[in-house]
Amino acid sequence: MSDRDETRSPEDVALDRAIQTLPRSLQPARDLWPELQAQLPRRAPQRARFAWVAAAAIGALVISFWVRPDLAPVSVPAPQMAQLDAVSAEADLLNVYESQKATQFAALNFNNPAVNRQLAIWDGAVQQVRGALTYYPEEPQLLLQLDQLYRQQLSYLETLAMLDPQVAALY
Amino acid sequence: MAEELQQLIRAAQAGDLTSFQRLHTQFVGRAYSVCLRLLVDAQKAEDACQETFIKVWQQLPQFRGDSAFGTWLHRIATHTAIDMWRKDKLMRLVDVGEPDSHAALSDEGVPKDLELAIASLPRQARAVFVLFAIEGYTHIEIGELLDIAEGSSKAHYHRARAILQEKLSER
Repeated sequence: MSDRDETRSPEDVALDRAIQTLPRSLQPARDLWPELQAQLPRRAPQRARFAWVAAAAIGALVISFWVRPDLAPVSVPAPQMAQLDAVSAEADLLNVYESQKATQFAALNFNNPAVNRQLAIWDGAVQQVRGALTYYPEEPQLLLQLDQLYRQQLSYLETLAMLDPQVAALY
Repeated sequence: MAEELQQLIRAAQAGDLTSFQRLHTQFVGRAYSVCLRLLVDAQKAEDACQETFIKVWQQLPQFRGDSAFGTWLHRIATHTAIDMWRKDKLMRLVDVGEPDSHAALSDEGVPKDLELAIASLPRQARAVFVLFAIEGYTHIEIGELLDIAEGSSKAHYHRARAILQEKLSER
């Protein structure tokens, strides 16, 4: 018996001891799972799909750096697949692609308003997709669209970089 | 063990039903116990338990692990059971009659006397007693959960203890 027990009535102590013996877990008389399973609303594994899409897009970009190391930005974030989720996937993609885009753009040794206009059109499209992502943050198709828009821009810049400056100026 | 639980949670978050079933098996007893002790009716407790796991399934993608999974699930079970307890209170205004608490609890092993005595407490005193003495909520938390003042919660608790001591001394 503890000191605390000595200051209390025997009935109080007995009740507290009895409460301590109550089981914390009581099993239902029947298996509730089959019925529950039938009631569970269908839920697509959105997060996993979303993370997969983002990871695949970033993975493809990293491979392109490996094939063309001259195109790789100074520091490429290396997100872990397990850390990607619907919330961070968009930010991860933007981070990697914007970094790569800035590097490629800076490598161009000419300035052409037509190129800027073209890039501005892509930027507008990117903003539209990002706006849609705020309403449907777990929609993998939107992330794929974002990925494709950046790929098009990078491909465009890559092509320009390979052209003779005098020819590129005509674009 | 903890790592295995984390894996089950991650898989269930990604939509894996088999993992969710294993989580159900592991935690159904804890959820059912609070539902049964609050509602004192096996059928209602099963319904509350099913509703709890449907909510858990729906909210699982948002579960970030800020608290232990069991704690998070148990909180959902408690809130669900209290919601049902409130509806039950309204129903009783037109349909007086206590549920057959003996039928609900008589199959559960250990201290049957105390379980039955708790089940026969006045409903408000029972809810406070279960939440405070068995589930470990504070009187402030109970006040918020049941929409009563902290002082009322304490008063119900002491009343419940007095009734229980009297009932147990009669046996």
